[in-house]
Amino acid sequence: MRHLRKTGYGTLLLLVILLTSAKVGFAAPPKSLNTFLDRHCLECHDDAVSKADLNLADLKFDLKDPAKFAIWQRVFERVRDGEMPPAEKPRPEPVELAELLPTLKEPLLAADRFDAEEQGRVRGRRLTRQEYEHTLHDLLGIDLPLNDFLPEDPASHGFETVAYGQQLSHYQLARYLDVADLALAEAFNRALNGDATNAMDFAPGRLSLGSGRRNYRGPESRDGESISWPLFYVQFYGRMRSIRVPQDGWYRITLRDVRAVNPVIGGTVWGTLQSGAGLSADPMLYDVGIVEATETPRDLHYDAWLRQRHTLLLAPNDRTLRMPRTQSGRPDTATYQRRYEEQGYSGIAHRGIRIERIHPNGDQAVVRKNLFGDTDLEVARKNPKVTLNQLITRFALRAFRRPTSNAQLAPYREIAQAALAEGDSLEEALRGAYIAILCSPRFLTFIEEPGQLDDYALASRLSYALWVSMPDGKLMQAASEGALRNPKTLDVQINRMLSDAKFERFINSYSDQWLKLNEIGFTNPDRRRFRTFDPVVQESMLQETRAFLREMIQSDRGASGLVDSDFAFWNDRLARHYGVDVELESGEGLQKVSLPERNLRGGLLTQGAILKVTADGSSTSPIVRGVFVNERILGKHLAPPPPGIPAIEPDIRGAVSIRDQLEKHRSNQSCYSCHRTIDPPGLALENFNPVGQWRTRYGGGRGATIDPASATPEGDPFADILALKKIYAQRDGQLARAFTEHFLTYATGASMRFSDHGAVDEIIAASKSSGYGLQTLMKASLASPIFQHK
Amino acid sequence: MKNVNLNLGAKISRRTLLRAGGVSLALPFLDAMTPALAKTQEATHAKRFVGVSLSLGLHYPNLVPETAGLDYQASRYLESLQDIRNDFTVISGSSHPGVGGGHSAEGSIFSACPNQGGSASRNTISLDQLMAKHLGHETRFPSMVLNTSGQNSPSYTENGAMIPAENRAMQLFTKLFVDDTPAEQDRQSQLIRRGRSIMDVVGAEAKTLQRELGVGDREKLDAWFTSVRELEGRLVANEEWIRRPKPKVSLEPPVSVPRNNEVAVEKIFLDIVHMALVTDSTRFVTLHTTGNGVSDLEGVDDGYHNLSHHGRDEDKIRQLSVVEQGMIDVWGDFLRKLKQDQLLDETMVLMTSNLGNASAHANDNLPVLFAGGGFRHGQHLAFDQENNYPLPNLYLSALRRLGLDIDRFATTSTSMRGLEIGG
Repeated sequence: MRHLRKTGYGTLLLLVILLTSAKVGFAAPPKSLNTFLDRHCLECHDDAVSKADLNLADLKFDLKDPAKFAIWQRVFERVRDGEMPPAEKPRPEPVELAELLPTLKEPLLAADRFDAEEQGRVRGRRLTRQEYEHTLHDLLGIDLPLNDFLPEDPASHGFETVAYGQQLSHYQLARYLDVADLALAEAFNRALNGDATNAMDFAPGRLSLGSGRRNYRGPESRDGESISWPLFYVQFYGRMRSIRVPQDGWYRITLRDVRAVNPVIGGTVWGTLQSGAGLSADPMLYDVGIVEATETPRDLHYDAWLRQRHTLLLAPNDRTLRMPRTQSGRPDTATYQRRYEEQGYSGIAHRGIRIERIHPNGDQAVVRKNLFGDTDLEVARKNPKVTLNQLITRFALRAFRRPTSNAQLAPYREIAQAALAEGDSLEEALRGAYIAILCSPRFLTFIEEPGQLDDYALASRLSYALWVSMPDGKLMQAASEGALRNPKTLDVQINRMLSDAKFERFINSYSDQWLKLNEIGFTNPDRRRFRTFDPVVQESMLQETRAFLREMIQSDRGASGLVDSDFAFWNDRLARHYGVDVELESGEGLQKVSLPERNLRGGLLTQGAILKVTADGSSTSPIVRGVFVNERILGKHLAPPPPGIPAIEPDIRGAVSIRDQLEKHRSNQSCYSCHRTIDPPGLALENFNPVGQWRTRYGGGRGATIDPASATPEGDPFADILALKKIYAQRDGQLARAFTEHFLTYATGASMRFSDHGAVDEIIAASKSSGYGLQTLMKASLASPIFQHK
Repeated sequence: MKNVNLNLGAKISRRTLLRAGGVSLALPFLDAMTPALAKTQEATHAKRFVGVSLSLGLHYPNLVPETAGLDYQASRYLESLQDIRNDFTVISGSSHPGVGGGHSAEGSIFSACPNQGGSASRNTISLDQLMAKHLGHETRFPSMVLNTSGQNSPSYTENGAMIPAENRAMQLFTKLFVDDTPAEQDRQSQLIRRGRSIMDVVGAEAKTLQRELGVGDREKLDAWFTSVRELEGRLVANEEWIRRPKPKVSLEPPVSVPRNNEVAVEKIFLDIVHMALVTDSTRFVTLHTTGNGVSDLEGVDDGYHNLSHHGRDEDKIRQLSVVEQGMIDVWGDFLRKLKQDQLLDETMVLMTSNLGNASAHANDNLPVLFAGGGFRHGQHLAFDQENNYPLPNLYLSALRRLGLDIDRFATTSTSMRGLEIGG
């Protein structure tokens, strides 16, 4: 018998489980199981046939063995859901099922609960690199981008936070050591030597320095304005070489009196502001932001990380704009003798640029406080040993996100004391200990003991769930008072967190992973086929989906809105890309738009960003989109082809459209069993090209007609995506469950397991009266035992 | 001197030398060769390994010659490699036992670790990392793990963690051939000094936490110990290299990498790998090709992944063939350069994929081209396409060729049949 560590209610629960399991037995199959297997399963799944490599005759009912547990769980679920025995075989009698299912479910539940209670659902989760970056920024007050120094996190069960897929190697550890050193070097430097300040102003004349030279690619300077034209075919067009960033850092860039020259419909000209070396020997450009120039001049502000020696590039970047042409076929950038404005070409004008160094996460005083508290280092130098110990205790409390005993801190103190003894300065000695703290598993992983989480572990989970970073002072305070398990306090804290600016990190991180928005730049749409797709459209799509998710949560909109909403967020560039006619305020950026009852674009499925991340640069695949809709939106778990099924090579010769190709594929029974679920939403979405525009035919309007009609696997036929959205919207309970399971997977760092389903049922039931409002679902999830246990 | 040694290694096998030892003594050039002879013991081993893994397979009918053996008739894809025909072997009808799951077999291509159809949670050490573990200490970089596009790699550590690949050609070039600033060198060397005591603490903390947190986290925390131990070893080794100047090469830095030409990207990476081998900066390299953009290739207008799912469609196969021929030709050029530098006989170069028939996501009948390393090449080793020959046997051959006395690798304890040394 295993040693039980928990006391109180936990023990009681465990005892009950143990008693039950002892009676039912982890190893002895329930009697009705053998009868059922004999009658319905063994014909195909015995040692002689073993279809799909499954031999139930020899499979021990040993539920402690994770592999065997997984098979029995699958047997249970497939029988429960009526997928097995397969359609062509006799159905089991209802009375047989009524007898079998509970007797199979009980031992499965008992075994799974026992395992989860003893070892936890979440095992050894560590910070993702995004969490790491935010944490160091909040802990130290620095703003140095750190993401690129760390390896990407592999997603497991759809999320990077899932401990199961996280790995540690000496490569990773070496990166942690290096980044901790870099980050602390930056922090100590700022705390001790002060913040760099820089402000530079560039008047239009100065921005056009070099104008008239043959290779000039900058803006035109005319009548006190600096003007850029849509010269898309000139690489680095809009480059302003007189701007040279003095050192790496965050800057506020102000474009003064930005004006649309010959605005298009909507009263705007759209462009991009980028940074980079702007040289063919170093062609990489970084996006700063999109520029919405309006008829009425106004200042625009951008905050961006700029690299030393880089310059800025500002140019119209709306590929629907007419490009000025010249007789030579080259642009007149050298002289600008032509009056493009009078000829009606659109452009972006402004009256100068200001660039100013900023420190978005706090100034020197903040950094200093984070490192040294209120300690006066000059005074402290008289008694460095004591000071070191005090400062290390203080720093570790924040970094480890919980109090740590003197014994636990001893090794960190020793590092500092040893350095001091060797003649290092107080600061150097301190830095050494801080590096060690930032490489410690107490910092890099979640310290969670099996069973109910203690207050500090709960505070950390909450904070990483909603802020992608460490708890702040107030959350730590609540934890230290033991108040977080009080539902009212918890609710107060959650409300506070939802309305904090840091919640934006959740919107970004969660939409990046759940909806794969981080993959939006993976493929470049084929320029020849999708001529009007441009960086402004792509950025607007991201903004649309993020604003949509934010609104769904902040206004507690019901889950059906995920697939069919009566609102959307557009700017006029995106509206034009979608081909919708809508009144938008010029210069207001993204705006909330009300949509009619039957609308194409409401809900996630038909948003540009989703349509783009589920396509490659040149074509769409109903399978890729179908898998996305099933897994991410409907919450269906699509099993990979079971092992042992011989690979079937599709033969699509003679098939004309993708649909025909799929029909050929689906005509094979073993493919069909899954593709009847996968394909239908993908087929409905075929009406959208890889960049999210509506289409009725392939091949740019000249190819085969698209037939989006199909039927859901449940048997509901639909004519097109509008009809399918209505079908899905009816299933709001399912949508709510999918959202909840994804959120809990992300927020805890472990996928849903067998024994979690009961708690999820309760979350769904409790949220029903709100129409499955997303915020209600999130709050119920955070209060659930799934979230509050390891 | 080096050349003499290399030529000897290439022309005379160890057995020949031993047999002819008495006669050789009388030969006039012997004195000049003495140091080389002393090294001959080593020259019977290969020194390097480069594994190129394609994530999307190679179209078998275009790759596999119709006839087997030494006088095989070149297949369509191998036509362009006939000038170096005797420097490589084409192997058909082999695969990794117990490895399946279509694309998810990627993780096992160099580890040969059975993966339960893609659902296994743990991998085992990959071929290149096992080599680097034993022999990687002599160079600045024990191994290089590269990818043309993402950070995925087929290289795994002993505790089954994937090593993130370097996918930025410029970063790779800088790491290999551009010296760090003195300030950076100072930072690195101070960090290494600090790093050792820090790692002691980290290791001890992992142990303490195992006690505090119980069995659930044990596996993850075990990875901390191993990582700490390995990093400590690396820190000691790195200290020596920090201030040593990096080799200067005539290769142009790869300032821009095309987005829609995977063949050109493969070439950029293999050009750098070539210089890394020439300068002895590393001896063990994997390059995983995962880029999807190929539309800048003549006659290609679809994505690589889409094309690999050709469904026997003739136009798709035609386009796919353009891409795959390009990938093979770049690999061939890489061999030619190594041969010209007289490095090929000491360098084993593999091209393979985790997919056989990519259109069916099959993991049997993997494409395998194996070159260099002093093996007797110029043949088509045709194994049974119905009942595959274990490909891990090739890996064991490669490991042993490096002089490693290894009994088992993954699922095998046998060297590859038909692959002989010398030639």
